[in-house]
Amino acid sequence: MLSAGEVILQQLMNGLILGSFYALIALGYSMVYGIIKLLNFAHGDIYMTGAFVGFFVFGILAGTVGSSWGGVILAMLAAMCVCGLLGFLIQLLAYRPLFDAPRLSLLITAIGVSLILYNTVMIITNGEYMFFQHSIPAGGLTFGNVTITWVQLVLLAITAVLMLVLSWFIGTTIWGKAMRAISLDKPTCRLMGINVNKIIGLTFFIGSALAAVAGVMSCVYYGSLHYFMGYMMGIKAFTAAVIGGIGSIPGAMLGGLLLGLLEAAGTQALGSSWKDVFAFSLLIIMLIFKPTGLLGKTEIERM
Amino acid sequence: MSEMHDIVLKVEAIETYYGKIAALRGISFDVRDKQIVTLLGSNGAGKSTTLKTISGLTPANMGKITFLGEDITKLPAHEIVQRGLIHVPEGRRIFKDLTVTENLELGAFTLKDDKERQRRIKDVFERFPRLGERKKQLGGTLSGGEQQMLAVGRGLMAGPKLLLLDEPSMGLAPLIVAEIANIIRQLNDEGIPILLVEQNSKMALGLADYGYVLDTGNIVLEGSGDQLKSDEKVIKAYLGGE
Ligand SMILES: Nc1ncnc2c1ncn2[C@@H]1O[C@H](COP(=O)(O)OP(=O)(O)OP(=O)(O)O)[C@@H](O)[C@H]1O
Ligand SMILES: [Mg+2]
Repeated sequence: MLSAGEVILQQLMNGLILGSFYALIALGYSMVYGIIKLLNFAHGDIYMTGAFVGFFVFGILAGTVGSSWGGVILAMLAAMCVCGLLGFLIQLLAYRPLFDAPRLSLLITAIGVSLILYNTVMIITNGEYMFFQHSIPAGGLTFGNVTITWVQLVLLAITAVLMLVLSWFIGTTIWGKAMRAISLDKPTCRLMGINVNKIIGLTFFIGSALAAVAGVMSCVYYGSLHYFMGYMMGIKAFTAAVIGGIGSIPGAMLGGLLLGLLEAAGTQALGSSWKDVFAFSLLIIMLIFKPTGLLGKTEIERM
Repeated sequence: MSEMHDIVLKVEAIETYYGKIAALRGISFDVRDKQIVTLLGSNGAGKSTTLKTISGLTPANMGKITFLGEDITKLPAHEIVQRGLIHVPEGRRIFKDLTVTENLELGAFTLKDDKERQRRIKDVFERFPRLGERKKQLGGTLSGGEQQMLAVGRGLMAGPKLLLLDEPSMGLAPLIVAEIANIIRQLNDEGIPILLVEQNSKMALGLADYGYVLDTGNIVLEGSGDQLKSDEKVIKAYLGGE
């Protein structure tokens, strides 16, 4: 039996890892919503695609760089580039022609894109589970009967670094400022000499690349992947984005981590079959009592 | 350059539509180097649309716009800005959730050199000390007059070769309007040609070298500032004269 402290430590780690996935994906939802007011339902499938890209690159590299952290990092970078580009292209080809159309057309298009990605990967993989076999050394830091694995620590570190870099980018670079300005007032941004469509494209690239990181991290953490993995993850991350305040970048980070921690706590208290109920109850409570989310300003539009 | 570009901005027979409704029905005018030119007209006359058409926000359906000898009619707004044609829009349009400094930085978005950008911010703060005192404050928390200064300062950040100002006096107390008028006069003295849209005709005609009166998408009257000031129709319609 674990002591109470050990249980808390273990669930804290579980919650933080889960929260990292949610946060990395929620960022893309929130950034895109902030800038073009689109609930990008294809975003969960970008995460899934990222996992598969990482999986294939990891497999190809295994012979030369091995199947430990080196391979994981390279697979992650490759998945970031591929998914970043994919997100950019989806935005360019599917969404941009509809920027001036009614909001609902954009939403339906996003659902269509989601179906395309999902079905494409299903066909390619024959609808089967894939197993991500790595040789990352086991072990970690042991506290009593609980071990915090190196994998957990590295994944948390990657998440932390990405969040810091993103915060720096949004907060201090001229492109980051342009992104925030675009979410406030597009015509005026054009009068500043900002190529608004280019910045929207950049936003999709960044959001998709972050989702791809989460995809590869989930390969490492769970060891398997499948074409429908983006579905529930997408909905949860979206929930996290709403809890944090959709459109808010710190909100997405906070909402993701909070949802992860609460799910871990809920799982511990009620059993894992209840964890989705827990997340969605939280969403409903949030929408009732603080529809703008914890750090958000904009209320989500009713569809 | 001064011979070639004596005419800074040439607007020829532009027509602009919102959907099927014409807002501009073929208007033509010039802004010459070192001038302040004003566009007057009542609500809905098409003043803002004229400026938005020049700066590329609502492109012209017909006609031609030439800026410093180059045809800019079909250029997207962000490329027009790069050429030094700067539009300070109606209602100031400050980025509310961004700080004063961030608003100014975005004014020089097209600038590659961040050092130069910071140097220009210093210039703006010297010109408008009240902005300097509030540089970390969010744009939305400034007073109306301060927001107008920020809007003008943000326009100056781009190094304008022509400034379009849309109703800079809107909603401001008389004392502040006088201050804004001084700023416009001073900018022009420094060599920036200005196209000024105003409902405050008194202020505008006090500043302008030349003016045009717009009515439902047409230019109905033009003349030097002094001519317009003493024109009976103008006095009646726009100067509140008896
Ligand atoms: N975005 C728009 N969509 C449709 N019609 C518009 C739009 N903007 C302006 N209009 C119409 O075009 C005409 C000219 O408007 P504009 O804003 O240029 O007038 P204005 O002279 O600037 O008026 P004001 O003094 O009130 O600012 C008006 O009839 C207005 O209703
Ligand atoms: Mg107007």
